[in-house]
Amino acid sequence: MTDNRFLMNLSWELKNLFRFPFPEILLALFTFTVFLPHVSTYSADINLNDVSSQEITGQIAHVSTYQGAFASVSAYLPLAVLGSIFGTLAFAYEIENGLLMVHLSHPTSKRAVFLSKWLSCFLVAFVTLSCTLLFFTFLYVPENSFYLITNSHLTLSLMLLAAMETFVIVSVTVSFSIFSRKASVSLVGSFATLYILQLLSQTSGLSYLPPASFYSQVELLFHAGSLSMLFNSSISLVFAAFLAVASYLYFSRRLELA
Amino acid sequence: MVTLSLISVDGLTKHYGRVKALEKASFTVGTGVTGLIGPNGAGKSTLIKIALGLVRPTYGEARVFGLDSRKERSKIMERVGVLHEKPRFPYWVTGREYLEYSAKLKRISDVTGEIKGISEICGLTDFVDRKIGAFSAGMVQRLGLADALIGKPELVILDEPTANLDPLGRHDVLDKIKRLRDEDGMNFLISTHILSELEKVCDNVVILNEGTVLTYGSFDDLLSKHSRRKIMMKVDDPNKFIECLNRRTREKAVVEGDSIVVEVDNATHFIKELNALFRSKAFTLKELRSCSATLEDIFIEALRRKQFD
Repeated sequence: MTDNRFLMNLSWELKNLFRFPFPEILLALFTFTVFLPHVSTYSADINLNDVSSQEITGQIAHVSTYQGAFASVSAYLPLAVLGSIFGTLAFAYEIENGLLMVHLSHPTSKRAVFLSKWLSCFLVAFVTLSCTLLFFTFLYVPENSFYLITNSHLTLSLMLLAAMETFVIVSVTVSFSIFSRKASVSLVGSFATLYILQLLSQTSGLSYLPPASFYSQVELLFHAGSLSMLFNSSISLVFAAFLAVASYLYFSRRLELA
Repeated sequence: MVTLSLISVDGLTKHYGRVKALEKASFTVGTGVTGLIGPNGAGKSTLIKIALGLVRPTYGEARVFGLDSRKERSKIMERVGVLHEKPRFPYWVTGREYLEYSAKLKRISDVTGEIKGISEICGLTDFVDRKIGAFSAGMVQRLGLADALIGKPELVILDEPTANLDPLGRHDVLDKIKRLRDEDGMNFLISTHILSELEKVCDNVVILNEGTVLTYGSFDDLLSKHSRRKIMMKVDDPNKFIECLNRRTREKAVVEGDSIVVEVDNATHFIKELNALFRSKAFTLKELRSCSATLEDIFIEALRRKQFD
């Protein structure tokens, strides 16, 4: 038995979030439906002259991982739906129904409860997105699986990408959930916010907003990026970090469970 | 003998916008069972939530075991068990899973044994393995009680502990509280509307009304301080007797069944007048006895005094 209350809370929260098995399946299905393969476009990148067969395998693996990474952009909206559900279930639903009040009437700190809830939302969304991205990477060129496993930097880049995207989405949904305190407002509001961000990034060409900023992150991770790409990819992360800190401070110091 | 202060509240004020839930409430309660009583909206639940650090006071402070409820919440919760009014539990887990989680948070070593024991005490044994979603309101209440009592904390705060329970269940719960106080030395803060039940177990009383503390202290002290003495009599013609009594004294007399109940302020004077009445031989006294005051009498008297003030 673990003696750490944070870990106890975390395992409890994960158990709570995994009570619905379907969102994980939904994300993979939605992303698969939305995602359009671009392998043919990027096959020109592969240089077949004067290289060994192992290097060719490496280049193909790189391109297939690059394709998998682009699935993160397609997965934005399905993940926004999932993030809104997780954030609402973990925070607003429990605040509204008095579950959080009963939870906090046990010997556990507000900090431990917040961190465990936040981290459980992040972990569930991250694992779901990582599995989706890896699925696309391995699906296109299954023969590359061995190369991808033995050259872990590509897989790790993919997971880092998934972590950054999840961080942005979970920070937005959790902060909306805590500040609204109402499940319905949180569910609709957090998804609407993420959807509006997508519309703005597409229609107004604001490339520092998600999901357009994820393109910059993909380029930074898989190709040499420019300074503007660094700016575009980091601004959403900085804003997400600000939201995470603000929601932590509000939850631990200002939130009243009347 | 030094009396240990379990909960002390000093100038506690809580405003929700324009609503004044608590207004400069101050009191101290010692060990034993303390009853927190007052009408709806008196501020009882707000006071409990402030003591648990779930709500921030507008002004003032609350201390539990001498610890600040805002700054030292975690230390307080190590020693406190709580049952909230209309408690909610995750419906997707079983009663046992929930109690296991609660026991682990309270760092109980023998979780299985503790759950078995507390399930027996709270009458949960037959349905502890069911999903909470399938529980009736009474079962949820029992689960909440088990959650509060698990690990036998030093102080148990119960907000309406007998709500949703049948008469037998209510009696059972009060009996358990009495036993846990006497045998295990546990302390309780009980907020309830059912005063007749509370007076069977409480040692101390805090009376709240409209956010202010009307009075507080030990039950015995308040009995002698606040409640008027009641005298019950049976005479051959009650209505005529009350007419005569009203001419002689200012005491309020009412007919209850075949008896007359008189609330007495000055007992010596009243007995003197009573003697004079019976000496006139206009009435025949069948029965005369002094009734002990109840918690309800203390509560009504405290409210009445507040209105006169």
